[in-house]
Order: sequence, then structure tokens, then C-alpha cells
Amino acid sequence: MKQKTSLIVAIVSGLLMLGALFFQPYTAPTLALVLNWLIILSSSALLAGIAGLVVNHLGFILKARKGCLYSLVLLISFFATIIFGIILGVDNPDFLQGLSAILLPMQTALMALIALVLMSAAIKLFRQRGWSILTVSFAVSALLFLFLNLGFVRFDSNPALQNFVAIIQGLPMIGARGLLIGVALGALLMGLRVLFGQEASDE
Amino acid sequence: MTTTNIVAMGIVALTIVVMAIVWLANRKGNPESLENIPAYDAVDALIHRSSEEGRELMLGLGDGLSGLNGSLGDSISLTIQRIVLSRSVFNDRATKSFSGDGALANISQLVIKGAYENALAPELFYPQDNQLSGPGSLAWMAGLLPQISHSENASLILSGALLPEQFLLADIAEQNDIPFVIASGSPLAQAAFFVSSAPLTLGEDYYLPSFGKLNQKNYQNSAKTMNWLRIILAIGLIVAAILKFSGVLP
Repeated sequence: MKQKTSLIVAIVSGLLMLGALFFQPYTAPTLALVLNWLIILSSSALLAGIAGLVVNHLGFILKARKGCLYSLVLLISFFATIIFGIILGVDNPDFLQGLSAILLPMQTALMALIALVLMSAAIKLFRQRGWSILTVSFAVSALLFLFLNLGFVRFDSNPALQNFVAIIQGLPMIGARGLLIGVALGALLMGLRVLFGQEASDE
Repeated sequence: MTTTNIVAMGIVALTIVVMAIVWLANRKGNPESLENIPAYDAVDALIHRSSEEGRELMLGLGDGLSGLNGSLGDSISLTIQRIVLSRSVFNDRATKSFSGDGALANISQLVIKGAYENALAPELFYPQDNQLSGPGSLAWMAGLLPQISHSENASLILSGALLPEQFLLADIAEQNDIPFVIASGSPLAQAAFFVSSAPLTLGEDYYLPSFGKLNQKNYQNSAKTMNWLRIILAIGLIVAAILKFSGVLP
């Protein structure tokens, strides 16, 4: 019964929100209010999650688990950020500059690393997945669009050819739209299954 | 009411009607069943592997549920977690889950607790088997990276809202010879992870989780509904294009 009550509450709230979404702008104030509730609830959930994270990493340090040095670094950075944030205030320019000085270089380095890793993985594509229509078309289209979008190939003197290149350049967008329609259908179906309680049913 | 809202309402109504028809058709008799998505069947193999090797199965649940992290909120990763746990509660080593969103971490905790309670083994549930590895996508990835190379880890399932940047996780798993499966609904992530060696879901396959004989009823209903919707939408788009080119539509 307890499970059914929560399911009924979820279904009714879901249907109400779906209805409210369709009948905007009449329902806009209600939607804004519910969105605020969502933000408050999500923030509380995040706090609970962070508390769990801190407790877990404290446990790793106390048990001297392999890799507990990472946990120590995490906890030191976490508490340092909280303490400085409370003392200086989250809008303090020095505090923000300090955070940026750490975060920006790290994120930039991470992105550079990811770019290199992705490039090396793309080179290994045929070894990993073999020669198939999918891999060949993936490689050919990736190379073609990278080359076209670099902007070196221009046909200013030939408008017909320029139009043709523009059509080719639009192909990824067409493909992405097709893919997105499929993904949106899947998401819609999943949402409706949740709304009708089918997703909760165990087999 | 705007035209967009009317079209959206029409699509939702159409989906509900098709869902109902498929559900009714599947209730009677023994309808022809569709094959599982290969990536999800690979998950089944990973569950067996971790069980046989007596090592951990890792679940990366992504960072999207509340939709506040800039990625489309979805609950498929939780469905995957529920199905995986229904098979792996009695493994020698508990399945570990890592989330990148506070709400996701909390609900995932409930899913794990529910799985152990359903298996009548609530004493085997430990809250630390489910962790928030970082708030946000990059923090989630940073928290997950050292866990992947852990020696007790047998296999990895990355599901949910993923970013192309998280390809680093796949690279680390490959370097450590850890078999893994990618299940994401993000087309960008699908394109990035395609260059890895792992089985992955392409397009809307992600929304059809079914491992072996698990979740078959839900899968069959969803897959058939989606097939019919695709056909109807394709016909609708073609008709709209013809009407547009013939000047009937402005």
C-alpha cells in the first residue's frame, strides 16, 4: 500500500505538471513555483549526497584504503573551499579569483587531454571495430566535415558548387535532427511509462 | 494556446493511444518478440563475469536526473541499475554505483535498498555501495576515474546522461582491460564513445533496456510502440514536406 501511495502521488503530480506545461501562460506562475520547489529539493538532495561523499572518503582514510591519498586531497579541498567561502563570502573577488586560478587551468588541461585521447581513439577505430559500413561511413564523414568546416575549401567564383558544398555541410544537422527525433520519442515514451507506473512494475 | 503546444499535445496523445494499442495487442496471444539491443545483452555478460570472478561490478549512473546539471534528466540509468541489481545482489562483491547528481544519488540509494529488500537480504545492503562521486559531470568523472582502475573491479557500465568529455573513463577502462558497456541517450556522447571498443547504444536504443529475459515485457511493449511511432512520424514528416513544397502549407 505504501508503494502504491507513492506511485499514485507520482502519477498525479506528473500528469498535473504535464497539463500545466501545455496550458501556459495560464499556468506559468504555478510552474515557476513548482520549479522553485524542485530546485530546493534538488539542493537538499545534493547536500545529503555531499554529506555521504564526505563520510565515505573519511572512511577510506581511516581504513587506509588503497588510493586514500585522493580522498585526503578531496577532503582538504572541500573543507578549504567551505571555510574560505564562509569567511570571505562567495562573491568575494579574491575568493573567486583563487577558485578560477585552480579550476580554469585544470579544466583546460583536462580538455586538452581528452582531445588527445579522443584523437588517438579515433585512429584506433578500425582496429577496435573492424571494417564495416558504420565505421567507414563514420571515418569518411568525420574527415569530410572536419575538412569542409575548416573553411579552406571555398568556391566563391562558382555559386552552384558553393550551394552544393553548403548542402553537404548541412547533412550532419539533418542526421542529428533525425537522431534527436528518435531520442525525443524514446524520452517521451520513457516519461509516459513512468507516469503510468509501468516503469515501476517488476517482472 | 500556441501551435507548438497543440502539436506537443497531439504527439503525447498519439503516443498514449499507440502505447495502449500495443499493450492490448501484447496481452492477448503470443506476439512475435523483438531481439534485445546488443549493448544491453553485453550488460548481461558483464553481470555473469563479475559474478564468476567474484569481483565488483561498477555502475556509473551519469549526472542527469534533476535536469539541473545542464543535461537532459532521465531515469533509464536507474532502470538499468534496478535490473542489474535484481541479478547481482548475491554476488561475492556488492555492485558499486556512482552518481553525479544529488537527487540521482539519493534515489539510487533507494533503488539499491529496494533490490536487497526484494531479495529478502536487507542485511547485505551497505549505503557506501552507492556514492555521489561528484556534483556535476566533470566532478563525477574525476571521482570515478580512480575507482575504475581499482583491482577489485571486474567490469563497468556507464549509463545515463553522459558527455563526450567522459570518454576519458572509457580510455582508463580500456587501459586496465576492464570490459565496459556504454548506454547513453546523448547523441554527442554516442558519437564520442563510438570510437571505443565497447558495445554502446545508438540513437533511441538507450531507452529500451532489457538484459537476457529480464524486463522483457516492458522492452517488447516499448520497442513496438516506438516502431509504430517512428512509422507514423515518418509518414507525417513526408506528408508535411509534400504539402510545404506544393504550397499548401505556408
